[in-house]
Amino acid sequence: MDCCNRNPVIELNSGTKLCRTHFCKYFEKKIMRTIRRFRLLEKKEHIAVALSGGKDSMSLLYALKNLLKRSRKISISAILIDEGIQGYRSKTGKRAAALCRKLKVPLHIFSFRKEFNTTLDRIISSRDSHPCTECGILRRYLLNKAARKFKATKLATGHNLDDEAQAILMNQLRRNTALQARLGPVTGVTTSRMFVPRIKPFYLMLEKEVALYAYINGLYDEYESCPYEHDSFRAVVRDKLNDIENSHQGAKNNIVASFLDILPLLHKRYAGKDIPTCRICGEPSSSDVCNACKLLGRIKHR
Amino acid sequence: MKIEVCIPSWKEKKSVVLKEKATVKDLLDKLNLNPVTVIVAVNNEASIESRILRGRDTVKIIPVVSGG
Ligand code: SF4
Ligand SMILES: [Zn+2]
Ligand SMILES: [Zn+2]
Repeated sequence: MDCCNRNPVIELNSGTKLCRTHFCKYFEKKIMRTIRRFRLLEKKEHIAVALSGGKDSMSLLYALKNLLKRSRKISISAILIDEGIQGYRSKTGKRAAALCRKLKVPLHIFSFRKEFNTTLDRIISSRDSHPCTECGILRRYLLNKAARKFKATKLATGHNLDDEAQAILMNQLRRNTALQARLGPVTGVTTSRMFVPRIKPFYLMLEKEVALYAYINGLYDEYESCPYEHDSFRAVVRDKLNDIENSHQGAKNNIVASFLDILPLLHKRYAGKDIPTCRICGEPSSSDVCNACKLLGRIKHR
Repeated sequence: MKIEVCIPSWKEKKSVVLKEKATVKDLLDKLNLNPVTVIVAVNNEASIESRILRGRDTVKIIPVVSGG
């Protein structure tokens, strides 16, 4: 991309330097390329953006709204999950709500408290747990339920290239080959109507690029982190990966690119049959009782 | 020269002493920060690592990693 070369805000891996205007153009073009390359959207869609108030989902909502504003056949709304994390979600939640008001995007809020009659804080304090794993199970469950309720045709999440590279490595380090098959730019595509397919428009965006886009557009300047974040295996993998990227530029890109090379094989190997539903809650599930219900059952029966 | 640096995890601004014509990269090296993990705003403008700093510049360092 050509640039006026005034006050560059970033130097890409290719060595190109971009000013803020041209960086934003580059960024938005790259999203459109991602959408086309992986066929993330059809002509007519109702996209529900999973909004957390963090930089990724805030940028996603902002960019999609900007890119699709002329499209009459694509509508956008936002879903926010309140996990019940004291001090953290209240701040990010307010920021998310403010952005929705500004962009005139309808916002639907779902809370663990209302849906599960508990909070993540309480789940964590009541047992030895892996906060991010349990948080993730319940959040994914709720996002799907919410997206379906509002008749969304796609659920868009802010996962970026760094997130994906981390997940790929984590699965390898734990030899979770079957889980590996569930990564990729589009997930949850099954014949089940209970599943709203998930798309990752930031699939090819470096985390730093997303953060910069957010910063430039005034979506992000105060940094908050979830109090449970440090406990995770992901944090370890992330830090090591960033060290490798620093000494071997392009490493993250290559991890994701080589994963995409073998993804079709993984899909073939782990091709699922029709997804059955959970006998407790009726949500889609790969076994008789879904992960969310199993988890909630364990909490109750302590 | 002296540069004012603000990092969210620090409670207040700190002054860092650097040699003349030091760059953003030099500052990050001195603070032991990986450039992949931060955005550096010089006088409230995002900047690349090769930018040369001047005395009395104010630098804000924003971590890019996120959770949740
Ligand atoms: S960091 Fe972990 S516990 Fe915190 S919101 Fe994210 S997934 Fe949940
Ligand atoms: Zn330019
Ligand atoms: Zn269930």
